[in-house]
Amino acid sequence: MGGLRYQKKILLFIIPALFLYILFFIYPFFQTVFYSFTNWDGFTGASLIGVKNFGQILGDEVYRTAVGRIFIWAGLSILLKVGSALVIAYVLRKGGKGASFFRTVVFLPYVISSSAMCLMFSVMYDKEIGLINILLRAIGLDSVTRYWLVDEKTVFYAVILIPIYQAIGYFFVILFAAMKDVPEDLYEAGRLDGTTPLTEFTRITIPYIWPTLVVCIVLAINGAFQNFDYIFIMTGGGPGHASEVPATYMYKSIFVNGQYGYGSAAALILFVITLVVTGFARKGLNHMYRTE
Amino acid sequence: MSKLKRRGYLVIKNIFLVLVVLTSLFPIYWTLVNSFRTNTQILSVFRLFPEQVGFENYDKIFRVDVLPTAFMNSVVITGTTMALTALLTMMAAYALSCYRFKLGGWIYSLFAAGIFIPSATTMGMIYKLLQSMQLLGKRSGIVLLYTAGRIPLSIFLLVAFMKAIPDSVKEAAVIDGCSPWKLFTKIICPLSQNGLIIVLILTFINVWNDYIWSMILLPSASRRTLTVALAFFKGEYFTDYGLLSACVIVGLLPIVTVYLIMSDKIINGMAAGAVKG
Repeated sequence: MGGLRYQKKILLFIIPALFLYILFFIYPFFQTVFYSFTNWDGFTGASLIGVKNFGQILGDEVYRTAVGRIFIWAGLSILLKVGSALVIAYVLRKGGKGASFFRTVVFLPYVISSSAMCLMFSVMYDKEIGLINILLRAIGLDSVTRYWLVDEKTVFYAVILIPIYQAIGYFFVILFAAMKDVPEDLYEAGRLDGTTPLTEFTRITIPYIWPTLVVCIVLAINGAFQNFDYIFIMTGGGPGHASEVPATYMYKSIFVNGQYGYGSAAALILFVITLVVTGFARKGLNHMYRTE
Repeated sequence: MSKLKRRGYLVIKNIFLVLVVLTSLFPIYWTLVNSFRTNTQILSVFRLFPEQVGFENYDKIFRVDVLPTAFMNSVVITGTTMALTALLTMMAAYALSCYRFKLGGWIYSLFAAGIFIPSATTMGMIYKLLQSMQLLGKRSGIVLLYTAGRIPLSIFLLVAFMKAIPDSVKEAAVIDGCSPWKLFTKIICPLSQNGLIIVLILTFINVWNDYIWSMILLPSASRRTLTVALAFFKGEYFTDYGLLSACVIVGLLPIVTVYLIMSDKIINGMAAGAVKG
């Protein structure tokens, strides 16, 4: 890639990183692929069983529901994380005095660890003393109050609200920076053509920052598919399987049931789903505005 | 009329922004308030301001030395990972970005592919791998793993930074008789400082906040990191909200302090890591 003439010594600079990378990325990845076709239990010898694991996983109602859940999670992430970040960035786009302070405050939740965040929210979700139920009672909705983390209907949404809430500031920062690059003349030209604040947003801002917005959407999907800290800490996938996602399903197969082969297949399915969905999203969305 | 409309818009805008700020800060603020209160007080009434600024909960935490140990584990693990990541990825990025050889292109693509392999995919095999290396439950094992995890994105970012250094600078140094190592330490490292800072920030935040790996790989209580120790408190002190809140505040303190000192660098670094990655 560079311009300097190559000499053998140069390889010495790469070897340490390459060794570690192959050891912890490439090798385990191929192992995962291999063992997904076996019935390995982690100790005794493994025997090849073809695609039996894959058939069994895809036939498992629990796994299928879990896959459905991460799609809902991804959808809500795009809508709420990226959506609210977009609105906040647009409202603030002209900057002003407090912009830097505002940025620091809004980004703050993002640097906090998942476990600290989960602890704070588990108090907020408390039936008696939690803020959410207190607010609901204050506006007369006593009947809606509940144990958010125990109720099977609400548990999943209650948990994913935490990472969604946390990442708004992150997407805000990215989109805010992109909006600052939109040239002011575009808005002026638009005003001459009679744009309203709404059309200004949809016809000028959105198309201009589209590539960045696509990055945000892909990141949001990726986060929803791969992240399971929050579910793990808050519920472990329960109660029952009410908040199970493919990653917790994989974790339990391997570390609780000792089914290394089966769990590897589950991990591989998730890997492929993620790759395909983010790939299509990136391609499809990038094509939407290709006028520049 | 138009002036009135404008003012109306401004008022709404400001109310909206204030609400966003309050939402961002509320969970932390409320936890801080509760950490000063006794459990009886918390259970009896909701308050936005504490009855007293009491430190009994904090006192209780520090009498058990779980948190100080966990804190030290986090410091050691995160610090070593940052140093190792910086060294390995700077070296590799230097070789890949400054020299012309076909193999380099291949190796770079191999590294870049790692960005698409999420850690959840290989979790089981990595556990077995560390077990077979006798590194399970040891801090050195997790440091190696974390470092490996930081390699793809870090190299990707650093190569971009190092490529931006003009070829003429590098060539001039070579003509002056610089050895590859000297070129690296005297010219390339100082000139790619900004890239290195981004890599260090991303590594710090990611490793410090990681939960899953340290939970799986460091099961013994004496090796637990801060994030894992906090999650354990959730189970242990679930009925003592005051104590729980104080634990969270102690857990937050290090990262929030670092954040407040260098928020601009952290924000810009993390945003750059996302967009370029």
